[in-house]
Amino acid sequence: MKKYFPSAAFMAAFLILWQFLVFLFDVESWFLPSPLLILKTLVESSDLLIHHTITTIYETLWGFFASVVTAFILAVVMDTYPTIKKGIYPLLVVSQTIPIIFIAPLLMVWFGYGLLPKIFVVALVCFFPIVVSLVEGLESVDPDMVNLLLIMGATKSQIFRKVRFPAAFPSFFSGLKIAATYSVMGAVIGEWLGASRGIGYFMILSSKSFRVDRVFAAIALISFLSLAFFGLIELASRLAMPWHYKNEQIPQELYDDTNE
Amino acid sequence: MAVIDVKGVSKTFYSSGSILKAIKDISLSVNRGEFVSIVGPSGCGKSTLFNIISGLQLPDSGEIRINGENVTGKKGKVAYMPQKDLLFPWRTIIDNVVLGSEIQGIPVKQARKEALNLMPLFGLQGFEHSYPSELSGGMRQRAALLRTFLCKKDIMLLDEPFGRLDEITKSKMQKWLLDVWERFQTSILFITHDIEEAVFLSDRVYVFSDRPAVVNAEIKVNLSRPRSQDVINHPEFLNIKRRLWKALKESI
Repeated sequence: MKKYFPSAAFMAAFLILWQFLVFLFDVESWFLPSPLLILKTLVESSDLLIHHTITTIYETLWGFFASVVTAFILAVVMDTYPTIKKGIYPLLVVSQTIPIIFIAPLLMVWFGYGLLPKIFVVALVCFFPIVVSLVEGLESVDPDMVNLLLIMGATKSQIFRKVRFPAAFPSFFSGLKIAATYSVMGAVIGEWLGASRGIGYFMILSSKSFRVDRVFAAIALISFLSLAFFGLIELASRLAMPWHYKNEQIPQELYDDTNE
Repeated sequence: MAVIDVKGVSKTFYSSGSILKAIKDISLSVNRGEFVSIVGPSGCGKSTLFNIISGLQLPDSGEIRINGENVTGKKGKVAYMPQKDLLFPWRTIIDNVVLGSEIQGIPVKQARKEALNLMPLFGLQGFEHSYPSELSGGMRQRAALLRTFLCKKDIMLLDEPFGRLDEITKSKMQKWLLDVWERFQTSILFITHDIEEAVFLSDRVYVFSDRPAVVNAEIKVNLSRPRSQDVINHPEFLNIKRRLWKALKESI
């Protein structure tokens, strides 16, 4: 917790400055609302916001989940068949150069205006960091560990399960964290382009009616959701890899008793 | 009777036009319950020999026999301990040491029980459920040795297991290794470049030459067991050390 203190302090200072400047220059609220007004709007439109947020969360979670599953399968296939990896991996990188904002409208054309295209956008945004981190994680295994298992007479599948996959965990989880921060934004972009529910839709409506305070309230909510999701993944990573977070070595002299 | 017989093993590596003769016509053996060491200049191909014995690489010629059976190129026949402890960071100590049983399909419950009983002897009691990152170098090495031991093979290959430890820890570990070895009557083939270590531990020592490695000398260590640290001042100890030095110098 302590390590977040400096950034929290900076954030607070920024908000206070913002509040003060809006007050000092008497800025109209349709132009730039003050932080306190945004907070007030958040509370006042909470019923409406919750309704939209639930949709966005739903899209985000499904998209993220779909992305993890496909990324996992593809990473394992690429890892098992180097030829497939040589063929697909560069294409994956190229696919990232296509702006998602231009793909999203096509998804609307193909899948309609329901939830599916939004889930698709989230999955597309999350997919790349997850698959790359997993492939790199599987590659990063210490070859001597693999040799040790080979000498013990291990099969290919044992080697995957007992060494390569667990060795990929730290990298895999950093990919998941990056994906988690993108995911909410992916859902909002999808909603932005055509929806009848969701935070993105709420933002469109608000900005068209010059309710800038509501736009900012939505932005704050998106940030909060992304952070919460990130925190959730961080928590999962701590639960899945307790060993990764335990690094305190006990000094030798405190317990070494082989000479007794 | 020989537990392991290495007969006329040679290996040459060809890579991008260059030829590297690693080992040439190596023959050696380890008898049941014997402690045998290999010393040689670093980079002389000792590890290549271990890779061949453990089945990771095929020799160009020659064969490996364990208990008379030809096991050349076969894996899963020896217990191997590398210089790096290679404990899996995501497994607790107890889960690390039963790895061999897990691979061989022996019920893990039984293996864990046995491992727990051996923890005190290996100086790991109280650390069964710790992660390797929480242990000191000496303890990790002992855990790696327990893992090797629990593979339950007729021969243990130890590849410079104490090479990275400080002198004091190293000497404790040597003494302790001898205790374990005497107690369980295992057969050990031990690689080191430390002459004193080889003499202190072994019944016999093979001296390898520089690349391509050949067996340059085979020296018997006639020192009584159990050995204590004081043995290093024994005239016979110094005599053997001198002979080993001479053989090593001739081989370079």
